[in-house]
Amino acid sequence: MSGRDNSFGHSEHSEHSEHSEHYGPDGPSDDRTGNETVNNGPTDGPRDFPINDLGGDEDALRRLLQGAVQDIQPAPDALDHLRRAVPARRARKRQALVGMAAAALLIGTAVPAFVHVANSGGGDSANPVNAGHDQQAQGGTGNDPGVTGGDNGVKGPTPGTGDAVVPGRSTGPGRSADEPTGGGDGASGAVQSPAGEVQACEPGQLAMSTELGAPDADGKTYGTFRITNISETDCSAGSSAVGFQALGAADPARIGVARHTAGDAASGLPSTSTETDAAVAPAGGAYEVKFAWVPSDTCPTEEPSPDPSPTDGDASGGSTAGAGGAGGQGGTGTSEGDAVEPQLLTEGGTKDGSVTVTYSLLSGAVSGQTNVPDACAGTIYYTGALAGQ
Amino acid sequence: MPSQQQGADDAMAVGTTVDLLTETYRAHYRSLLGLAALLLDDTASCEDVVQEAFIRVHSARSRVRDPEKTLAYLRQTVVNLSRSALRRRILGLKLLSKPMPDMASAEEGAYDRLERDALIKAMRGLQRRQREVLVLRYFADMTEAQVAETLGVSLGSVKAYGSRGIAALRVAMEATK
Repeated sequence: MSGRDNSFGHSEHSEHSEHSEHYGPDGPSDDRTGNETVNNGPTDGPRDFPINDLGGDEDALRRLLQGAVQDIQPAPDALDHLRRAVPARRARKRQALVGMAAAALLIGTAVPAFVHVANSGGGDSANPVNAGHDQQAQGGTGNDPGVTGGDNGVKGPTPGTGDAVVPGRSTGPGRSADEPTGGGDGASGAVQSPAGEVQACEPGQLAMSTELGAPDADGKTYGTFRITNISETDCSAGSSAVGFQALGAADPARIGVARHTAGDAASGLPSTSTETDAAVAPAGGAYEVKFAWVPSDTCPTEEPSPDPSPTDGDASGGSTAGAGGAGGQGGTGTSEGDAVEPQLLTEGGTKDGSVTVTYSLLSGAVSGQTNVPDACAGTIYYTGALAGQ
Repeated sequence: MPSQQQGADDAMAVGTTVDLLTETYRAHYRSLLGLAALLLDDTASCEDVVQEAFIRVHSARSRVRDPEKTLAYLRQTVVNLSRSALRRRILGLKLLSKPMPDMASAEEGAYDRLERDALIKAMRGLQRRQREVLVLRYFADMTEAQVAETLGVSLGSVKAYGSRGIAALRVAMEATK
């Protein structure tokens, strides 16, 4: 940069850091235009350009801009800092991705369950729950029918909305054992999160990760939903819901969901005083919702198994929304039920049951779930939004 | 950055990343500091902004796969972060762990001089967009089309901001004489 001339007006930047406020060795002497060119208007001089000659100004501006900042050097530890910070940020993003995957799974499984609950109204469809098996907790992500069902559910479940899910799904008798698992799903516990002036979060802005601890001595299990705003703008999370899905031997009728209050059984949850109902996710920031699974009973011991294949009429009629949920489990959504039906336990012993705790924003911006193993009856206590650290 | 293999295993991926980071750092960090210094009103944030831009871009693997685009992403991010509202938020969140470190006197001097630079003073008097256009166009040597893309405005707007910016700058420089 040395040897550039300072022709855009007058300038006093230096050539090198040692020459603060002075022209460099070859500055003025080499400066063909001096400081007259622009500001003084046309004067004599070899590169004297008229005031509206942007071409000349552009060159001068280039040099001036370069010169103004040329002494600025990175902080000595800048690179070291980056070497630490980049992997750390990546790890955070990876967690967020896991949250996204969980969200996709939820949409395929849990959300149609809301619809189902609305539909079934406590009818017969809740009974075949014990036909479930732990395959239910795994499997692929949701498919389209699931998403459709989810929409219906989110907007305020009303009886009958889930029917849209049914067509094309309810014909195969072999699959019927899949469907009743939907009957184990419950939803409750809206968290009100009034927003300020911040815009509502949109899908893609948030990511969720979950953590689940090991059961303590009393069998209580604590977990966390961590919602991270991965976008560059603040947004308001809006209302959210904590719900559950009962799998296997878990009995939805004996599972409750309650907001955590001081003195309740979930003593390991943070005090309610630290909660905020206004869940605003600042750009790059996060908030958490913690929950506790407090068992009221162990999983039941095995009784004679019910008919592993509930009649098709029953299953397809009574638990239609379950079809959406089931779609998430086959992996492809088209696989027939028999392939994923390692049939039920018919021997004695404790039955397997688990409870999937779900958290979702009613806006649909994000949702996630985590599975509490060996859980059949009990209460889910959850907190409001807690500031993430 | 010719052969960055798609990290087959994690260790290799990390190794690749560090090299890439170092390489990008050497190639662009200083010029991005300059970019930030010209876009920002508070020069104390330059380093933070550039750090954050590096972290953001490098933590998204897809953005560093193509070295040519990496610079564009970095610049874009610096521009975005330089807009005051965003920066306040970042600084407020303390995502950036380090304030300006104890800087060697040479650097301190550099920022000091920057503060006194007549051009810098004049630039700060410009409208935000004008300043951004001028800096990207003439400091970062972008084409008008690139500037338009980076700022998310039309080509016509870039031309207009640019010529008005230069005119305003000329007046401002004249006034400081």
